[in-house]
Amino acid sequence: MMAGLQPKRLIALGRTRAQGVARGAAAKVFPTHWSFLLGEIALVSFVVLVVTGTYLAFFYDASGDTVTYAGSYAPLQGVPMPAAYRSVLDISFDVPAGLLVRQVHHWASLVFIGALVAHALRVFFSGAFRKPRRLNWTIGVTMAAAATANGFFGLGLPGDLLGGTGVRIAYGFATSVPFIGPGLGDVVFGGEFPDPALYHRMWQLHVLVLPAVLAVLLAGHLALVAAQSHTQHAMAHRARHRVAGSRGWPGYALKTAALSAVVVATLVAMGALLQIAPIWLYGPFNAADATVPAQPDWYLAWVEGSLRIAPSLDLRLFGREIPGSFLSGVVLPSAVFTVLYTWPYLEAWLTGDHEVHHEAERMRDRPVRSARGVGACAFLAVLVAAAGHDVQALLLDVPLQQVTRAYRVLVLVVPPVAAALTWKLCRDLAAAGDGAADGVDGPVAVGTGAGAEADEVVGAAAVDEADEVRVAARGERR
Amino acid sequence: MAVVAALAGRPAGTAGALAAASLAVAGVGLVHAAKALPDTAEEEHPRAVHGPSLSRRRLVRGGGAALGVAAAGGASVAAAGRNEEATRALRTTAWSKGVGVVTAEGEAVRADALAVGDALTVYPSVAILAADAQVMLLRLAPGTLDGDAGVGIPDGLVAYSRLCTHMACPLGLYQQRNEVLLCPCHQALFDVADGGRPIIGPASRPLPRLPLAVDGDGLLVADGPFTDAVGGGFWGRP
Repeated sequence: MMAGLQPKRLIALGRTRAQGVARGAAAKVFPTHWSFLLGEIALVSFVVLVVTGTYLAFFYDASGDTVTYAGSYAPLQGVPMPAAYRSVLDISFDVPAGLLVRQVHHWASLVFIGALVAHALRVFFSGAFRKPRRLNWTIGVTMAAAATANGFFGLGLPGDLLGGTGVRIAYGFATSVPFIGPGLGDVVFGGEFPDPALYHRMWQLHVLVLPAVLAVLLAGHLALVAAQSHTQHAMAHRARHRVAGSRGWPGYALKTAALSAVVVATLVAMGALLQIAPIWLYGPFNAADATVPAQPDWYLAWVEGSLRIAPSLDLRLFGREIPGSFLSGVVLPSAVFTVLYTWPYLEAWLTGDHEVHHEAERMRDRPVRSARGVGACAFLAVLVAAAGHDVQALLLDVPLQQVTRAYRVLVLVVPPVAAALTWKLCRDLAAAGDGAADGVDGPVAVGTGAGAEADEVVGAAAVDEADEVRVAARGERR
Repeated sequence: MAVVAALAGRPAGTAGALAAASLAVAGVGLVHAAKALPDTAEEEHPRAVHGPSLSRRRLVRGGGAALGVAAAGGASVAAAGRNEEATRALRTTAWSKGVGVVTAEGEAVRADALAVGDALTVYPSVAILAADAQVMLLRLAPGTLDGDAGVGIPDGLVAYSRLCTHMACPLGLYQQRNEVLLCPCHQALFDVADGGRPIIGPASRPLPRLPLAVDGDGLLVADGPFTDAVGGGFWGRP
């Protein structure tokens, strides 16, 4: 341990010298609780996406021109198709390790957004989005939006029938925007769908614009984490405003290297062993065909689900028709992201708590926030499930209309019920919380020199003190 | 390693599995190494003491917001500039009075080509395979058509836009027994015997119909454009 050096002094150095940055990072303290690793899984997945995507970019042809296939996949020989689709067939069948890299890329995109969402849930439910980390929360939400959009363009690029159907629907969303819709469809998708320029537009957005946005935001996100440090679970026998965990070097660096290796190993194993997006089975995009059943990747499914269960409405504004797709495709995602963006400010306004917070809270100690969060998650989860309603109707042998009606009820009933149950559970846990059950999923204390056992149980005394700390924090005015 | 193995001619799956396994071994080793370290520490929250730097915060927030507004504004201006032309493109198709009806292969369709209950995908002779001009041509049994049948429907031959009025997916499935067209995307159902009315599902408008006529050689031609803009809803749909 670098006991002789003052961390504060190191940080001051880090602002001026590269060497100082390295020394500051080495001395910096990182929390050890597992939930702080979710963001790192997203980070590693992002790196994997960039590396695999770069390899794929050498062989991808962003062209909508119709060509006739003559490659090594016999069932499609002689079939007319977009040049983009042919190039992805070539990647899958003829480019060395092409299929492996493609599948790792696709799996990494699912894991990336999954880890990003899990990380956001950790931040939300532990209250880590509060002042002074509000700015970093909004950066994170922007990254989630950019990642989702980039995943969508990635699904469209191969020019297969499933991806093409998704792009068709997104084009419909774009054209539904009041006043500029059809023009917006042109700008994003190159012209009236399916314009041959489509692939080039999506390609530039997918490999240049959105990754650049993500990279810049990522740098800012990490810089803010470095400047502000992580939130900290309540600690035994320690004042607030302190961080406990591993030093950057060697403990945290080793852990991060280990995590990175395991995440990359998992992604490569998934790409090697689990088939994903077999576009040669979906067939090339063709304006006269549609594929069934058609479900998008999970992070887009909530929008698809809302399209399926929204009632058919005829709305008019300024004498113009508001297409039903506008509500599902534009209003719903905008509303979700507006709430996400403004949540730190919204919650401060709702609770009247405008203080600076550095402690990571437990769900049970904030029953109202927990209930709101679980309710919102339940709403989105029902919509995700609704995206598969045709398959479910088939499996259950129930008329499709009944499944649709059931989802219309569920989407209204499940969120408040889930919220109420969460609130009750939080209250019960908090009431029983001074007992022995606390160590199971409760706060983490790091005892000096406790080593590998640092993640162990804190007793009742620690919780009591944590509560005192929290009360003190609320009482203090800045 | 995966790439090397694959270049050497091994199946990519095997190579990938090997690469994953070696990485996993490395990862497990590192986990053990990290756990063996008696490495715990604590420090002050750096900003908790000094407080956040307000001016830099404002700069980042303001700059980010300005960039976002600039991007959205730029896209909006570009979109507004293209909007009129794009709207016209969405409102119109290649069909107009006198345009020949042909198959996807470009063969002209005779007025007696379809038996009752048959269906055929056809295109305008001037824009074969044009996405927005695809038409489902059906011959219904005499007497099945409700309403103002007969106008542009020679001898039970009725032509509907093949694009769903919900999200413009192609209507892939014609169920002859129930005389319905089904959209595979979001399961909208249209009654072809009742003017293409949506009966189940998320679509709210009937399918636009293409009025047909028979020319002097017994070939099918359009008797005008579609009765409505085809495809899903869009801003500026008449």
